[in-house]
Amino acid sequence: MPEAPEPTKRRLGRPLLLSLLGSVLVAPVPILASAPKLIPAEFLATVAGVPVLSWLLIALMAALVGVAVLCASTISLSDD
Amino acid sequence: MLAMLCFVAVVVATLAITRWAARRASGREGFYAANGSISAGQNGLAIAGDFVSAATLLGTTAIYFASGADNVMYLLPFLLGLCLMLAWIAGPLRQLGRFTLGDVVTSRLKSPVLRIYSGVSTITISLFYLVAQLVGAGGLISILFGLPFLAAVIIVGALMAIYVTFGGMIAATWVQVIKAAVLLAAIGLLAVLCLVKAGGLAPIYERAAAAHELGAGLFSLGGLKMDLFSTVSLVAGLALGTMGLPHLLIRAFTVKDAEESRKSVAIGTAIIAVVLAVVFLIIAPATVAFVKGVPAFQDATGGVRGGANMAVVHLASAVGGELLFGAIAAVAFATILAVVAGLTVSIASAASHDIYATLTRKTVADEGHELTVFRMTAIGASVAAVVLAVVLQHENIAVLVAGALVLAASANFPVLFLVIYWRGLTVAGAVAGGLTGLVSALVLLVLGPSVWVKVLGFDTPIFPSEYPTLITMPLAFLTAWLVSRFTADKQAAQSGGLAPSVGR
Repeated sequence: MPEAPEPTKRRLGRPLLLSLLGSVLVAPVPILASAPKLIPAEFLATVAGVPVLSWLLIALMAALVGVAVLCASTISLSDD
Repeated sequence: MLAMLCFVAVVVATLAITRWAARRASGREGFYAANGSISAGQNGLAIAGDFVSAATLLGTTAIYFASGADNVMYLLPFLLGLCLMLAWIAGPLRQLGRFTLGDVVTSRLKSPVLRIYSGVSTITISLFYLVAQLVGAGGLISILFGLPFLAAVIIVGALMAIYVTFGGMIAATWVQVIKAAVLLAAIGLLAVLCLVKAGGLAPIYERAAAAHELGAGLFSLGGLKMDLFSTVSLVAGLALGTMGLPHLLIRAFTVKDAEESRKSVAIGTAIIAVVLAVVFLIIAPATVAFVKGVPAFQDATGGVRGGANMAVVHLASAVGGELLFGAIAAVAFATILAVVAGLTVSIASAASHDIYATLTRKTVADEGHELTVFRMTAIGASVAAVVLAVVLQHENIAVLVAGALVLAASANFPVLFLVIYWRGLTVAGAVAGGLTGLVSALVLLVLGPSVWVKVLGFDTPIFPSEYPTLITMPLAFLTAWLVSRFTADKQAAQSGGLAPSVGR
């Protein structure tokens, strides 16, 4: 098994940035779930028969996949 | 009859895979890590399979069925957790570990005590998760064949013991890969049939709103009526717990290097996102539209036959008749079997490689003994999980899984993260931090509504939330930091004046 690399050699900038991005994207969901009155009325209007809020949550899932792809493509072995 | 045939087909297919795997699984490399022979694509499917478990398919649709779109709080954090895992853990994990999380946490801090702690923590978390899956399996088989819950979970327990005892990680991985592919097809088919039966997406939403007491409020958030602490703690627990789930993390050891490990997590994330989107957008509202209030799917009390966890199986019956009902039930059953096999591997490898080998100071030459312990633990874990599943059979599966993730976020994640990123961590700090997280999470889970009220029968919980991660995880980090600060000099002295783990 290879020796454990020194932790200070890891570059933390990109992981930190991408983690923050993902967290900021998800953060409104628990806040709105605990205070549904804060949800704008427009979010409950429908587009193609489906509430806007549902579409937004699906878009959020897609955005998180984007963050995952960014993580996989911009953080390399040299960062480990 | 069709359902029975589908079930038998699943059992026969998985046993055939186990037989095939048993010929290839020799030695620790095979039993613990599938010889490192799994490709990134296959591992991505296996990771997706681990996530799309009974909790996702049955539990989250059950939450939507009862309380609406709040089930998204049980779906989204997994995607965030996988992003965080990609950013922080996936690469280093493969570089530092070989078979178990114990290998990773002792890669820098070489301590038998720390390895044993890691084994205990892995077993506790995996057992919790295992019970959730068995509760789902028991309910599923009960409603299909009219078997008592106990008989149903004994069947599943026996099967998972067979897979792992004979086929190890190779069997667990290939059962998972094939199941994931079948599950994707089944979920796709179910979604298409829902759309066809309703005449499009909009009619599904109209029917669901008409059928549910919440009306259009079903599609908004807040149906679970949780406070801010609980919602944030739930989401944080699921996201950060993902980075501490042993049965998921050991998948990193089944691929050849860190790059493949990272690639496989990215592939898994994309697959999971597609499944979650289909479940959230189509299948969950369709379950309300086609099952809610339909007499054929109700029991004598007016509730869903077999419990709310079975709502999606009834949906299959509603839109695809007996054939799809049997197929979806069999796929859900296969899902559970595949996940429990992976969980049993993580329990058995932690017991044999981290605890037994450390306590008895066994070396490579004693591989045979270690694998005997691996097999015996697999059988013991199956028995323990069956007993616990009977006790917790009326709990929602997604809530049980959330409990396992609270433990993972509080006990495993802080230790893993600090081992990789903080040179100041000492052995005492790691053990104290991990134990604090594990014990505090267990205590608060027991004192919370899920156990204190629903299982033990008290009127009000001592701890008001089901999700204590916001307290237990920072407590684990704080304890690890404090104890490391106080023991840094001692550890430096013990390592001969060198301070390999002491730094910034």
